[in-house]
Amino acid sequence: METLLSKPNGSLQNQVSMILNKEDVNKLIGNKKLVISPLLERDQIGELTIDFRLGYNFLVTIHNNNPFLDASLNNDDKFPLKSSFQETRRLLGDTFLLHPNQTVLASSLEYIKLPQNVYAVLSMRSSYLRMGISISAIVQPGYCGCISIELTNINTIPINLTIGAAIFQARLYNANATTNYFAKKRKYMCQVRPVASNVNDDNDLKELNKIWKNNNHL
Amino acid sequence: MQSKLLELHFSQLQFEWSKAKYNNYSDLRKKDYHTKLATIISAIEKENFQILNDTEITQRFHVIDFLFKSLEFLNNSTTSTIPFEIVYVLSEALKDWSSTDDYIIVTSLINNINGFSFDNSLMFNDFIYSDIELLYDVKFEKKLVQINLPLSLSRDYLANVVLYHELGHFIDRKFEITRVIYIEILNSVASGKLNTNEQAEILEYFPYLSDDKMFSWLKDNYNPFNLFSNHIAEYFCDLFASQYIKNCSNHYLEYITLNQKNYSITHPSTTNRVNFVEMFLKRTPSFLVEHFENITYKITGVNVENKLAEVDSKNFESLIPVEIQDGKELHGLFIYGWKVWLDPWDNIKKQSNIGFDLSQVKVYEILNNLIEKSIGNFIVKTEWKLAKSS
Repeated sequence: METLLSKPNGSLQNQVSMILNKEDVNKLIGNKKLVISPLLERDQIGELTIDFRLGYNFLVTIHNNNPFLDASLNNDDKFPLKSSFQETRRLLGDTFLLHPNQTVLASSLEYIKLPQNVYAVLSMRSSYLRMGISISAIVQPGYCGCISIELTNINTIPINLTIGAAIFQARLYNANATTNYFAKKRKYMCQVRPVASNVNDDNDLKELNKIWKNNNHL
Repeated sequence: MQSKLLELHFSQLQFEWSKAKYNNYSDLRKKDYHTKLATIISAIEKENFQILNDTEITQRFHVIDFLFKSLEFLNNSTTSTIPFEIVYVLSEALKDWSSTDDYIIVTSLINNINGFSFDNSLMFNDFIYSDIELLYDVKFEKKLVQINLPLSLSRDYLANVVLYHELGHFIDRKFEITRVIYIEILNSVASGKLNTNEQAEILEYFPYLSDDKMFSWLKDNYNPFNLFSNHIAEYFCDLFASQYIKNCSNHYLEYITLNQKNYSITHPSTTNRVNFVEMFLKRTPSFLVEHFENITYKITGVNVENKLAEVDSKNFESLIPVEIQDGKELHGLFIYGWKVWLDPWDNIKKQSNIGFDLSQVKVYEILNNLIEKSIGNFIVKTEWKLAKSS
């Protein structure tokens, strides 16, 4: 993967982010810089990817009095996002039915802690991509917790998923710089169950709300 | 009772059953239990209540009550939100005292902040099971036990330590330990053979025994719900819990009772309860603690002793779950969790290089998450290993 990084003198340079291979990953696990727990099978760590399993906690959207999922502060929190989600749990080996066009918040079975200089790029395993489920996300260096995944079934028929099955994978990349994930306050910290979006805590939304109020003389 | 009133009771059940009969359970044991309920209801439907005598009507009334209660347990078993981690840990503790094969444990989340309990109302009523077998030829090999948790604290593993105490009530009821201790203590006092220290200790924990009238009344009127029985039961359950979680239940006890210094009809003073547990944990010579231990062993064949393995870890401070190696460490997790909560939270900040102040609610959330995941990982690994080896 290539990233455009800004050099101290302001010039831009193509710099290669190194993907970590099996040996690198095992070394990080061995010296406890990378935590993956539980790692039920060693062969979850492939040559260039790590397989992750579907966890047992879910948040599903429900129909209620809220007319929409409100990603703005312009309605004075009248439609709180959290009230549009309902939690449901399963046991290992149980199944979860993912309906067409439904987006479900799930999490990995594994709890991870990434090194401060390694990030992860997530994608579905191809067997699940072929059924019509897609995800795309990045996990930041230093993140700790179960990985939150947003599963959407873009197929026209429901898909029955097994709890504990390896459904997605991560490629780990060296970030070329060490960062401290906890240098600033984090919205999501050590999560073990999926958490509804905390978008309304974004500072940007607060500023945008002020602008909207000013523009409308409110 | 008139047969018409029995018909009213049964109509209520039939109305409930019209929905509940379609209940679907993934657990085969619950399915079997449900089928047995269906058999009994179908048999009652065929009965003519008008020709039953008073005894038979009362008998049916109790059977219908049993069916209602069973449905209540099965319907309220909130499997999709159940905190199965705490249920697993309690089941592990239960195995030390009794085969868990005899029970189907269901869980209910209730709207009561202090609503921690083991509802064993379907466990110990042997008469109803023999009546049902006699009348309808249905035998329940497994009985339902319901663990109740407050909905708002179902993920609070610091508060959930109280359930070890509640498990103690379950064991007490099963073996009738309190009843024997009750009789033994009063007999010891009446015998006049106790030395001064022993007498003083008894009066410290049961001060009302110094009143001769009260003493005689208690001796002649055993009742599982009188003041003395209640207090013995509470001490026993505190002792029981401390085998698994040491003095952690004291932390929560002091919090919910505001360290109550006086006793009530249902509970001894918190001060005495805390001291009682401390005597056991510190192995301070104590007539009462030894009495409780000996009687419990004689009845159950199980020693009252430390049944946990301490967790020696800094993982929570490093924001990662603990790798539990031994089932006994599951109990030790609660002690570790309480320790991190009571220690300065700067330990977490330093260990994890956190650049902002950790609010109390954030620490609360982190700790509960990490305890839950530590237990969850142990369950997952155990089940995986078992599946691989079979």
